[in-house]
Amino acid sequence: MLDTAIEAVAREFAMKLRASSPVAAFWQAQARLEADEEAQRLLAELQQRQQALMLKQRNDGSITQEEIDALRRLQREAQSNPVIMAYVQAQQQAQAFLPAVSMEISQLLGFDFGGLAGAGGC
Amino acid sequence: MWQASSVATAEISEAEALQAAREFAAALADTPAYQAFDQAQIRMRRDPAAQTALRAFQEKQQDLAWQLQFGLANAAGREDLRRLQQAMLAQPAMRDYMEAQEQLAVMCREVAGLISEVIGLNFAASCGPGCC
Repeated sequence: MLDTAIEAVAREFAMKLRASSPVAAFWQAQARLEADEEAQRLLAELQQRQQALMLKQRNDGSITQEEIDALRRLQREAQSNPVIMAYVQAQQQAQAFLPAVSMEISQLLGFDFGGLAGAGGC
Repeated sequence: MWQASSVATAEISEAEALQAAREFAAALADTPAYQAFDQAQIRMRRDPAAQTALRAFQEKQQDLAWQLQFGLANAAGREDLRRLQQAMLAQPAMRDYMEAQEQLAVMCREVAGLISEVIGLNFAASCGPGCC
């Protein structure tokens, strides 16, 4: 259990990080994704198709080339959907900013904060 | 109707976020867990017995690494290393340091988890240099 003092400071810092431009942009892209009917439809169909194929393969191992092609078409559609792509890009950019933040903390403390806090694997 | 979004923090620049990170690091440095780790590290570094045991272990480790490159590492060498590691960990100053480091790691993990929750991204997955 975290000491209440450091928990409060951590929350305050987390809120500032949440408000940083790359992270804020990610949340905006996420909100746009959730509000976009076409993108939601695509993602739902993609997920359903992927799960159905996985199940089929596990049960009797019979996936047709047609089914694979249909899945790939759906994936390409998702990849060219601007709202989905904007979300993916925003997430990547936000995620790419975080190591710099972690390093800033590590440098001041003199130990690898990210390393100590990480789950132990890249 | 009062909405949470109306009092959300105004957007800040990356530079301001990094400054906030430095301030947060300063707060972490004030925690008991960090202070205990810092002290234990100093004691470990100043303890002659712990340092001797550490050096013996590190030298053996380097020897084996060399041998491994040429396919020469053997069971006896590995057993020596294990023995030296045990001897190192048996040093009270070293043991205290490792325990303090583990406590610090626990706090860092919890803090990172909290941050991840608030920002909606995996903060602890950010691997810097020296990861893995």
